[in-house]
Amino acid sequence: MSNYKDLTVLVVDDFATMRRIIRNILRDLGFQRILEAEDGTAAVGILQTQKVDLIISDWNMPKMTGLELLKWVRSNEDTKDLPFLMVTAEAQKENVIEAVKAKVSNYIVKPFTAQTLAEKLEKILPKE
Amino acid sequence: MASSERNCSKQELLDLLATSVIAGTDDLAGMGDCLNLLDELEKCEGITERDRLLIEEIRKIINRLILEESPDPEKDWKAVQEKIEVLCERSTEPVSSTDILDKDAELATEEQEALAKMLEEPKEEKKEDKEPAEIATMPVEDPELFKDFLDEAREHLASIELNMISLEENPEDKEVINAVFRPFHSIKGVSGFLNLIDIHELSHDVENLLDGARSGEYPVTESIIDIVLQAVDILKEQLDLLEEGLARGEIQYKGNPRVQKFLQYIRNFDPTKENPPVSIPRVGELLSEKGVVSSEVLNKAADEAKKEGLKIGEKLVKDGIVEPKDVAQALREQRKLKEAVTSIRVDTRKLDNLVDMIGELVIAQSMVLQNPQVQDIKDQKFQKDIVQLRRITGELQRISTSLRMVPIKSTFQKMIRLVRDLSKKSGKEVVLKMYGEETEIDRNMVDQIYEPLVHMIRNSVDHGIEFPEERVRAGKPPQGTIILAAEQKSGNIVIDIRDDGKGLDAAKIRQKAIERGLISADEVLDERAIYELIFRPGFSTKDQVSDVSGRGVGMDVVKKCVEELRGSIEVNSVPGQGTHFQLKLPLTMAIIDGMIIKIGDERYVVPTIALKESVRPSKDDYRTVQGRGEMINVRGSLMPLIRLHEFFEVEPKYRNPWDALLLVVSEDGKDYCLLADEIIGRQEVVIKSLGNLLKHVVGISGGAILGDGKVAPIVDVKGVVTVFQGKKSMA
Repeated sequence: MSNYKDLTVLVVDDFATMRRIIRNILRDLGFQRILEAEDGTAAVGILQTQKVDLIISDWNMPKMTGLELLKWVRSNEDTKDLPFLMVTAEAQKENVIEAVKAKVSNYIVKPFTAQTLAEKLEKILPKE
Repeated sequence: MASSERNCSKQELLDLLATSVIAGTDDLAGMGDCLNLLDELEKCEGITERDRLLIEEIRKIINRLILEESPDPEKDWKAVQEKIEVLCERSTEPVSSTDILDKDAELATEEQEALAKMLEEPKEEKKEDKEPAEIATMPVEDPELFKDFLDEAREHLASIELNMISLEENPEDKEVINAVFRPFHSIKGVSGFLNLIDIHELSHDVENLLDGARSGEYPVTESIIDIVLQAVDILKEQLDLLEEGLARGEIQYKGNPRVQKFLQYIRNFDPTKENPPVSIPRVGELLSEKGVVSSEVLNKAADEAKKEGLKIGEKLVKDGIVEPKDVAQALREQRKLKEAVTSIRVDTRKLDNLVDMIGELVIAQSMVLQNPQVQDIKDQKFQKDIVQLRRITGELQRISTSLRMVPIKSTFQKMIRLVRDLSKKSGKEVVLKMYGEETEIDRNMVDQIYEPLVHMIRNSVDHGIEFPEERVRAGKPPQGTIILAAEQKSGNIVIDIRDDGKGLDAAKIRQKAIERGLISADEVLDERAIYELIFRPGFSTKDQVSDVSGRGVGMDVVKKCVEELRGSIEVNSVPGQGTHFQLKLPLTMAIIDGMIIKIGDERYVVPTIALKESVRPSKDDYRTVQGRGEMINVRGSLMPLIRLHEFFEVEPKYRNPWDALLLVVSEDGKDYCLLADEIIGRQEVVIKSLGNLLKHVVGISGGAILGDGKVAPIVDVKGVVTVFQGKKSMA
């Protein structure tokens, strides 16, 4: 798991506490470079200026939703292959299908544990 | 995705599908590609109904693989491959061989079994987590995180309240619903991580409720708005509790009784059975309603107008379908309707303050005008200006009163459902007719009259209206009617509740009052006084309450509620024809119509609503009755005399009733005479609280500021009578 420490992860959620929770979990997993954005628009701003290796985004956000962000990421030449993990709620599984069609790398259902997140990351991060 | 625009070739897609690879049970990318191809394939020409069914099946299996809901992922994964193969083969080889059909059928049954299994399983799981609620606590590991959550959640709740205003105005606006939905969603998410189960479940349920509205399953009704606002209140309380818990280092995370109760309420709430809110009709609707244009033409024009980027009115005029003046008229009507419902929400404290200040302004004005030096000014221009000033302040006062008024409609409308439920439960047929729903009532009173109204209507259905057979035997229609009417009458709001049931049974009431010790067996009472007995505490007891009227509150509670609002209640009944309750409420809680009386040098205000009449008795009308004290004979009936100067301990001008003036008041169906020196006049007075010290003084309900700026106590007639009765029984 030590390879996480060189990866830059972008956490997108409009709820600061949620970002903090995810950040804590990511720290526990060994991540050191964690960027945060409070919605899709802010995330796009970061993606255009910084190198990011992984996106973890909430679905429901003001201004630009997680799905819209995903579509933007997939349609942009520089970002189209980025691992994109969608965070979703139990009740909104129909969103997951939509995200899968829009080529989300994987999704994770709130609330999740560090272990679940690690498993999902195992699946979506390129293996070297 | 732009792919749907692409000219699709069935064969091309099938080729893609045939070569598409789903690498394993968790290859989301492969499954996503596959789903997209299926979506496109479905839109192609030459796809048969059978193909479509198969596509739907494949889609279902892929969906459950994605959602990790598959009972057997490996098997499902293989099934997807096989079915895709069938789909591709079938289409290239249009004549279906029996071989494929068999395979098809086999897969279909498997699919059904799996689906049935899946449908059964989650249900049982749901039941399990419904464990009995018990308050549970847990220690706090990371207080900082909880504190962050508190701050942010509170911020979010504040934003919900703001957005609710726009939601009430535009209940169909998806953006606004989403803006309300999102904070609940976020709070739900975080509380789930923090294991705050109460908060999590509550926000989860509200989120679900809003989700249905968002997806258009049902409209946002007033009830939904009420639930959301109440949820916000409860969440705020929970956050406060959490904060207290954090300070102690141990927090309650589940089993809070208020949350449990509310959850139960939400879960029983059926949003699809609500009345939709009143919405503003579209111009097209208005035109078609008037018969200017048929709905078919309208629909066609609406589609075209959309494409051309025109408004429907413009399009219709452009095509010469309607005259410009019709559109203009429709627009005007629409605007009128819009204006009628446009409103903003203002903190009631601000309103109260404004109303208070305007009251003060009126008082300050009359203080200035009553100043002898001002009164000596003979300047004509000054006199004219004064008239103008008076007019403005008068108008201000009128407006300020109306500011806090809201139509009684919303309260009345809740009764529709009540009557429906009650009649269903009791097996009686009851129609509710409502009149005067537009009548406006003080905002502060709306909530407080709800309970009394519910109770009276329950009573009417339960004890008033007869069963259909009984009604027919009595020569009445089988369906009973309850009329609920409101109107503004001489400075009061009058609410009538009439039913055409069997009426009150005077003999029975009398009998019961004697049993309960409310009256003595030989007491002589006229019919009305007997009816009034139902308002006496202790008259209604549980054994009389059926499961319909059920709550164990009697009419005494209703009366108390009404009196707290400084109103009065009367009952009238004709045996066999029905019962009539009449509520009289003041227009506003801030101002009362008062009679200013004088006792010695002091002035008091008696609410006009409590007064029946004022009399000047002759010497012969006064008598002292053995064991009953001083009495006054008012046109043949004897009423106890209450000396207000003794009550308030002031030196009066007159001690003899025949020199003084008597105010006849009614309390609990009995009349009393209040002894005062004189009546100065009748005036609307602004009510002021007398502060905490004097708050609980019996016999005084508040203070009123009079024209000269001095404060006069407002007499609480009920309190005075109660004390008087107490003294008498002690003597």
